[in-house]
Amino acid sequence: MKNKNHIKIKSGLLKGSWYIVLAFLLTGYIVVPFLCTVIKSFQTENGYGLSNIKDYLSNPNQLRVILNTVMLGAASVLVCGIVGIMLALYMTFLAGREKKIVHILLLSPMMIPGVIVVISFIQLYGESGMVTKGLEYLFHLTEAPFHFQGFGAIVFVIAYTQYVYFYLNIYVALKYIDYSLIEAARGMGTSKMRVFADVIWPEILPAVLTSVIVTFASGISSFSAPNLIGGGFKVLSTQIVRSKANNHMETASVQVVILFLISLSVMMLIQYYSRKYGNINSARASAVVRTGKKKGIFVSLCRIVIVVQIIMVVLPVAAIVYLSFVDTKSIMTMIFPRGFTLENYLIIAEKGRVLKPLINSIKMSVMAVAAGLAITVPTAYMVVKYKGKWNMLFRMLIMLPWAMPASVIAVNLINAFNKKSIFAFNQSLIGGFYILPIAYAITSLPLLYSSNEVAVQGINKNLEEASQSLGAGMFYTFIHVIIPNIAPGIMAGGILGLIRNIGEYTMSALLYGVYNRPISISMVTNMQEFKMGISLAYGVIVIIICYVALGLIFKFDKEKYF
Amino acid sequence: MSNIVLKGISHAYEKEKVLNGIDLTIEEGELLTLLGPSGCGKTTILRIIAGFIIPDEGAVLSGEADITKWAPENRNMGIVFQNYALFPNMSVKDNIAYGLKIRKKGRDYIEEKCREYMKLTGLLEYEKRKVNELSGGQQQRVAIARALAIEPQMLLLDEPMSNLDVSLRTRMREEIRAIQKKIGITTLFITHDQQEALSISDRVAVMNKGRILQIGTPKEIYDEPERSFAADFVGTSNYINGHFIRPEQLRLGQGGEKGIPVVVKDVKFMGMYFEYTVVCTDDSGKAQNYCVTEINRGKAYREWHAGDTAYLYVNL
Ligand SMILES: Nc1ncnc2c1ncn2[C@@H]1O[C@H](COP(=O)(O)OP(=O)(O)O)[C@@H](O)[C@H]1O
Ligand SMILES: [Mg+2]
Repeated sequence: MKNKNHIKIKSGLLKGSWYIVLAFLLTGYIVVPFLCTVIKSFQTENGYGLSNIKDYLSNPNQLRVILNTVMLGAASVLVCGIVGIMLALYMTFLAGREKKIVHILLLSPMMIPGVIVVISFIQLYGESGMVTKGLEYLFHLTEAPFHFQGFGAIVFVIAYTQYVYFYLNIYVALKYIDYSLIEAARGMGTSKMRVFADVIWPEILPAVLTSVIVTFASGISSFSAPNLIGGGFKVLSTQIVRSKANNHMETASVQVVILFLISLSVMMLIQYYSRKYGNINSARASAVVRTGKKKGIFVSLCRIVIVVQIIMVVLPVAAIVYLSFVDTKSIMTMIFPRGFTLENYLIIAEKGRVLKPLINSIKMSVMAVAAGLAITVPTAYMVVKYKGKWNMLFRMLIMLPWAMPASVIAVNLINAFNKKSIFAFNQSLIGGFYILPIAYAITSLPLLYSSNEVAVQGINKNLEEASQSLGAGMFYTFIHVIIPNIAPGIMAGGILGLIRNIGEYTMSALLYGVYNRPISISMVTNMQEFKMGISLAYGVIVIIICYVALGLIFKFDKEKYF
Repeated sequence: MSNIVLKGISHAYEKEKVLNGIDLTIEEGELLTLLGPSGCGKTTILRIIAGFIIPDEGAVLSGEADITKWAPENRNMGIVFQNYALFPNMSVKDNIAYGLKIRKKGRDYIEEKCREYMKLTGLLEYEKRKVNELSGGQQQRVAIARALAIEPQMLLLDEPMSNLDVSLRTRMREEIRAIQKKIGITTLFITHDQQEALSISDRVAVMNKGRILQIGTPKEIYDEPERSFAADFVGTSNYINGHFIRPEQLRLGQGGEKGIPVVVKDVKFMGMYFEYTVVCTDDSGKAQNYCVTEINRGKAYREWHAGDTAYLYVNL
């Protein structure tokens, strides 16, 4: 009997201390930093007030920036929606034997950090890019056929990188469509458009709404494209970085609050709609029946979209790999550079200083994911098992960064940790090594949490009871039964988080210092210092890491992607 | 080991009351079956005994001790779940050894016990297999071996046959009964299948809508059903003069003193026996149907045909 009480007290202590640690971390690194930013946005030379915000909103240039940001979000949704839905329809109803390889190719932009894609696009379509120069040469033009800059160029990059959310979500939703409905409708002579409107659209609506949120969020927070090819097109994220660089933290904070509010309100609006219209249908067994005829305008259009898409997805990777084996001088001077060399890679391998950013990025990403998992795995478990007010509150806090663009998170951290903080054990974190892994961990929380929650929900509830009835306490069961059985889901989420972090650019630009200079920053500075070769070789190494990771994810989480 | 007593157990999920004053004693070493339709509260009783649910009212006693509020991990109950709940990340042997490792038994002891229970359940050659490489029947054996290996004070089985092919069910229930008798473990068996309940149990408790309607040996339950639900749920029955009478306790004849005059309405030939539906018109002119079965005794047997008039006798 004494022993039994002892076990109970032990597991109670364990739970209690876990909640204290969790509350400490979430308050210290998410809630308080955000409050610091809000307070900062009210801070003026003489006390606190609304004058920062008033000044900001009365400046037409700044209003233009806000408008641009929203426009970019909307344009992302529009182009990615059209492209993603068409691709998903084609792949579901029309793709033949080539399906699997095309599917993997179409998913691959998810795995390549945005900043690498942008750099590669510049090598292709920029002023002296291969495609630009090629067209000039082919048609004997005296000047470039287009200027790869501004709003159009940004949307162009987004269309070929951010469509993946739409594509994947809708591809998965289409798997659960009841094909007999489509057959029946077609049998009654209904046109394809009507079948789409009446049968398919209602089924995929929830997936569409989710994708709208994600794509809009990534559109308004995108930084690498507007920063590198934006020209005069300014958006909030680029302006936040500029304000911070000029040490105008009050302005940066005002901009962050506005960006956060835009992001949050669009998310809430769409979630309201999905609650209203998008009842998620339960999965049905579906015999995959394909329509036999593969003709018609729509089909041809889809074919063209898919071919163009694949070329556009493969080209930047091919270009970056090719150029990474060319010496920088011929990249700069020839249309199709041919001075092959291994020098770019040798420099990275030999010079510790050049290798350092790569090591930094890998180290910081792994740390961030490890910390993120340590927080999200137990929370997901507690939420699924007990629900309850407190668990749901923690869940909400963990999901909060979902509504926070990267620049928001970074500025929050600056405002909270540019002075000594009790949450950092009375240290200032800014300028130190740990601030970046912390930032990466915060952005990864929602992603990690969701994949863990799905994994926990997937395990047979009786497993835990079986373990208990055999005499195991809660902690033993968690380690020996729960963790091993959700490991594939944890791994898939963790690797995806790792990939997102390894090439992260926005927060890195705001938070890096001498001790933690990450690879994305090195890529951009090397490019700007005309050391193109090294920049591209970095890119190739990161792409290789990401593709290996992609293979692992597909291995762990087949269900979700195929 | 000792007996398990449920005293006045009532329980509600949210507002819906699913158990209503359950009193039940499971004697030491017996196999008691809870028999009742789906949703009547069988699993809830099992979960209360196992400790996953603390009942709103009543107590669970193990011998002298009141264990109502003990945590499941302290009760030492072996459970075979409906879906077996084997640990997919472990081999057959590791599943069986799991409870022993928690009890911090020595390596040799664990090895010996695993072999003993694998032998008992016929699993010796599958020791190294992953559990999802096993057939349904083999998985069930692992579940049983795992539950028994901790030498529990009681074995709880929740509809263990429901995931098996019909052809395998009879065999497995015989094996379970043989194992149970061999080690003499107190067992609670749950099923909604009356054949299963009657053939495997020392005693059967018939349940409906959160109540126990009757407890008795299989023969008592079948021969002397106390209420119409128990009578109908366990086989077919006729209600004559305030008694439930089984079709095989009735007989048709050609005349005599005490017979009730009837007309044969329908005949079903079932191979081993004939099933007749006969009608009797009572004094008030109300028609009453009875079901009668007679063993097919080959050529010597006099068959009845629809439309025949006959007399109905009760064999008590
Ligand atoms: N966790 C639960 N929450 C709410 N109602 C439940 C829960 N579990 C069972 N019930 C309900 O309680 C009743 C009895 O369930 P159960 O004990 O599982 O029945 P049985 O095992 O006899 O089929 C059913 O009506 C069932 O729907
Ligand atoms: Mg049940």
